Amino acid sequence: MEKKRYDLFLEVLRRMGSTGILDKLVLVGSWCILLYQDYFREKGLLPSIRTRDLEFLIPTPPSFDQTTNLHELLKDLGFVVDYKGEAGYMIFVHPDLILEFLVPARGRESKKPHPIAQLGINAQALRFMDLLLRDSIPVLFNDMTVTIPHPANFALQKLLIARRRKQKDKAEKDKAQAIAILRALDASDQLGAVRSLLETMPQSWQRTIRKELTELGEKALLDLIVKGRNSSR
Amino acid sequence: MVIKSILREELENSLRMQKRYEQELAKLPKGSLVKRVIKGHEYYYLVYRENGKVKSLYRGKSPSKKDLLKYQEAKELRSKYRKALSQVKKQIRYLRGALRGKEEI
Repeated sequence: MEKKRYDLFLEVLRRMGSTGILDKLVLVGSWCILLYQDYFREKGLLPSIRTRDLEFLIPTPPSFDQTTNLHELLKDLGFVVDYKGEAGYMIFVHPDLILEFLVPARGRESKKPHPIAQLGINAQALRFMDLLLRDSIPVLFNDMTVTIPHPANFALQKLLIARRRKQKDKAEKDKAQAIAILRALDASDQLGAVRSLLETMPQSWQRTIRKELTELGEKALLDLIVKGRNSSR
Repeated sequence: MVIKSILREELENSLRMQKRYEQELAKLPKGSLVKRVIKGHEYYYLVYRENGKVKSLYRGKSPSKKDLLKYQEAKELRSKYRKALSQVKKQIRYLRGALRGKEEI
């Protein structure tokens, strides 16, 4: 099943790539971790558990060069359109993957779906998505260039949203992913990127992140982020 | 705990997916357009099943390209959706089994 899922993931990326859509999207969510495994090069640093949810973040305003009917593009793979939640966020479902589209939420909180006319879809607006867009990195994956958030941004965003989650289990998953990424950054001597990012954040966000790491018993990791390895010795 | 919550979410997704595939299958035009050669002449029939019996409806000597495409696409999608539906049902059985325990799903 994993092989089939992985192949379908590749085919979705290929089709999006061939129509120029992929260049304008940022892959977010647990599938990012698959690409981080290549980024960190060392296997086993990151958890390999992934859900079927394949999430793409669309920077707003969208800058697609042409109009593409995304459903038509993916229909023959067996994807059908479904609508999630009371608000009716459009998703493409398949037994192996569920495609979701997100945009950064700005201004007053609203659950209204955000229309993306160029793709014939709507997207869900979520908080802290701008953080994932900032410093996003293009990575080469199976001869395709896929844009993903910088792991530092990914990890800190997970810590920020974990606190806002209504479902405790999801919050736990967010925190576990954040810690795994932070450890991988530490192992590859890149905690400086986390420190730099943390320093640019509003004080309230910094407090949340410090609090989360402390409550998770990761005070040593927090010290490494804030003070650096040399100072903590 | 985290794994269990993922499984629970996946089960909810699969149940919703099952419903969607069933809806999509019901929306597809019924039957297949088949060509029959009778005494050297080609005739098209819409073949479908009704109350367990196979029925043929004559559709003329040369159906429109639009009709041909419509039934061809429906045939392909029907096959894909049926396969997907069968996969989803297997997933549901597996997930229910994996989650079966003291807690209710």
